[in-house]
Amino acid sequence: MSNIKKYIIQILFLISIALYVVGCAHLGFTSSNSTADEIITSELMKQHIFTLASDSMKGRNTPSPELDSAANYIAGVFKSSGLQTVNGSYFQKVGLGIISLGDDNYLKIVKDGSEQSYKIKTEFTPFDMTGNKQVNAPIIFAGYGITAPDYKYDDYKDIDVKGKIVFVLKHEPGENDSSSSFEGVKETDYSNVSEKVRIAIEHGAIGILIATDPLNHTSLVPRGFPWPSLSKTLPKDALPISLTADEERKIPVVQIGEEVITQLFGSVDKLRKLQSIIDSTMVPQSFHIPNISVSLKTSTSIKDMSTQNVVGYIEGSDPKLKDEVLIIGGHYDHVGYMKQHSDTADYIFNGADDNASGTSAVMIVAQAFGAMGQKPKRSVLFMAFAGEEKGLMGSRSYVNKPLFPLDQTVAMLNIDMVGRNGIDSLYMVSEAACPDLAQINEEENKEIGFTLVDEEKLLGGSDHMSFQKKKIPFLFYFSGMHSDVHQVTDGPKKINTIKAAKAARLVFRTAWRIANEEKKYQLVDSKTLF
Amino acid sequence: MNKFYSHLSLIAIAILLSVSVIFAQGNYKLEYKFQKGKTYRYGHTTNSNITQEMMGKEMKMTNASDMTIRVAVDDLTKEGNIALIVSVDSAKNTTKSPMMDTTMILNNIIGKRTKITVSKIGAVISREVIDTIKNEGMMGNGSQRGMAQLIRLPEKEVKVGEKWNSTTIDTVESMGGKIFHTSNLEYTLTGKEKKQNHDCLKIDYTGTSSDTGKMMMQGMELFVEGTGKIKGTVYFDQKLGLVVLDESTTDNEQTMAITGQQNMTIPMSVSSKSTKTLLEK
Repeated sequence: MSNIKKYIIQILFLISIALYVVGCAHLGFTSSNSTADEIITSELMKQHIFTLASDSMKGRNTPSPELDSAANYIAGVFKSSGLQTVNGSYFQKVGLGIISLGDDNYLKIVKDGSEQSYKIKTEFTPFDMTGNKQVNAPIIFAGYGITAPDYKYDDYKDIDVKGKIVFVLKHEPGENDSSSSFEGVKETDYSNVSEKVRIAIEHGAIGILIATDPLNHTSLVPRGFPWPSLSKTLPKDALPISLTADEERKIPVVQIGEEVITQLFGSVDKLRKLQSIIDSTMVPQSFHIPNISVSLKTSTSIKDMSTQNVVGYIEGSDPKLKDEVLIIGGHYDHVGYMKQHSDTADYIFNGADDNASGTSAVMIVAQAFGAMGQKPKRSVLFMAFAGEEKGLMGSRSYVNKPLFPLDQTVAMLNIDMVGRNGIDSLYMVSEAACPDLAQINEEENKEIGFTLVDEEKLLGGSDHMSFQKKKIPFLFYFSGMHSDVHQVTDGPKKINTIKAAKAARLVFRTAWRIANEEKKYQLVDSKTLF
Repeated sequence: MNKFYSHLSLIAIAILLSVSVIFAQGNYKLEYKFQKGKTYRYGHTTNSNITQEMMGKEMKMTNASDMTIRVAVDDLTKEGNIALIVSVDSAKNTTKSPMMDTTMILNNIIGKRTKITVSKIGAVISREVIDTIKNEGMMGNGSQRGMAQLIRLPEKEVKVGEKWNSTTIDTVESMGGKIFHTSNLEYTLTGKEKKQNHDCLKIDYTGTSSDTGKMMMQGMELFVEGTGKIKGTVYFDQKLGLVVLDESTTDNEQTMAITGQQNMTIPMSVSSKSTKTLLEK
């Protein structure tokens, strides 16, 4: 951390103390809002945004030393605002790494005492979510590998896959049938490979063979993950950063092609007929494939790239409600800088709007809460997420390993890009998903004066989605797209700090209401959202 | 906020569009009988389901493209070759994704002409872009090149049940790089059928395709690798020497890899249904 940042943090600390003293004089909701209004100013917003989006932060890539500097700055603000640590720290580790395919991978099938080995890439290929393990077991055909209580369909019903390897098809029943109970031709999350893997592990499977379903698809190429080490075209540098938690829970997961299908079922056509029966009857056809055992090994190596979320906590004052948590968060990372650049041209993606503005709003709302002089009834967790730009890594890591029980997390307010476009309008893209939260927000907005624009299609693409997937009600504050997003031109001077402060005041008012009432909120029909 | 999804999806669709219009057909002597001075119009629709895995998440999208293609016969050469001026009268592309729905009228490709000289069986002799498309990207260039594709007819007379093959190797220069397309198709003359008031020969076809290449995008290197399978049926009016209808399905497994300020490997699965219909002759 630089001396300048230390100085800023000291000043902020003093300001916070002073404001805290002032804040103590105010009690009650109306006065709390006026206290917050005094703290949530465009000047303080500007100070935070210019710090986070400065060139010295080099675009806050995940992971990077500059991201760590930003994390320290945010933690300093949380600390100076009187927020508590969680488990003794303002940081929560986000386990990240670059996963490469190892050298030792094989697939062998013993049928009626005769062993057949298969070639990697042309006959089988591991997926990126595969485990570093070797397994040897009988094999079960488990249809589409779906357990979906919401669609009254279960390929694992009446079949025990514990300690077995399962064979599952890609996609879902009735893929091209507009009357399919799986949302017609619109594919649900159950068709995702990651979901099939999760379900198989939950049922106790120790390995998975996945095939493209032959009824609706002509290409049965066993692509799995396109590992650079198996390609002449794809560069190793393009391997993405992935979440690395729960490595020990992972099992071997490979995609197989026509050769393996033929060995297991006699022919591709026999598998196609099985699939056709499932699709036409919606009755699972799972069974133990007799006289066959499968030996499967996949190996990976991980280059550690871990980073951290920043957390600050206010414990609730109500003996009962303090066990419930409201989360207010936004991502503090951006996309870094151009590695190949000239000395004269701008090369840093400052990410002032995306998302120094939202992170600053989180900090300012935290400062306002800290200065209230009274604790809210419910507990509040302020969070700055890392790795949003790499695929919501920080928030996904949190919901996988939450600091507080998710079933006690009453709502999540996500702030991502609130400093651009017209000063009078703000996107609130959660009305259909969380109407009761949206109503609170609309009521509070009467004092703020935004024209709130509801646009459900903008739901995707930010950290609230990680919480939404865990069925946690959310609100998403967003001021809209613009031509500077992910460009070097997204600089701090272009931010309308008055608007950003106005958005932060709305977040504060809504958060304070939520944190002080007993009502539980509903997330409507989350399966139809992203 | 992440905004790469829409860009990459459009690039993938464009690569596939340029391949998907390669269609097939053929004791019957089959040859194109385009008439000098005449203009033919085809309607071409493609509906695709795309599953894209990016940054640990799978995302599903649909894409629908609807184009009207104008084929004007410029010249019939002494050698028996046919010079065609191909352009697009209308082009609309609709993408639906969890991020947002977008409909684009591709005004930048409308009216832009490509001159293509082919033999009577559809072998490409030469190709010349007359009107360059502004801000082409993959979408523009792919479409312009794709609409100028003709199916390959058999060199010899064929009987019902007979097969013939064609291999096409093509290079598309785009976005500061090159994409190499290879396709291998096998055609089977399967019978006769009336289609759209035309007495047609029915030709089934199956085949494979592959793409590899490298381009530049926003200062980053973009690598493409993919394989696909195609299956379809062409209805060919032997008397008129024209394709009346072509229906096909394709399954493509593609990968895009990006290096630069962002490093990503993005597997994509694209299933498409495509129809090309003779509208006017």
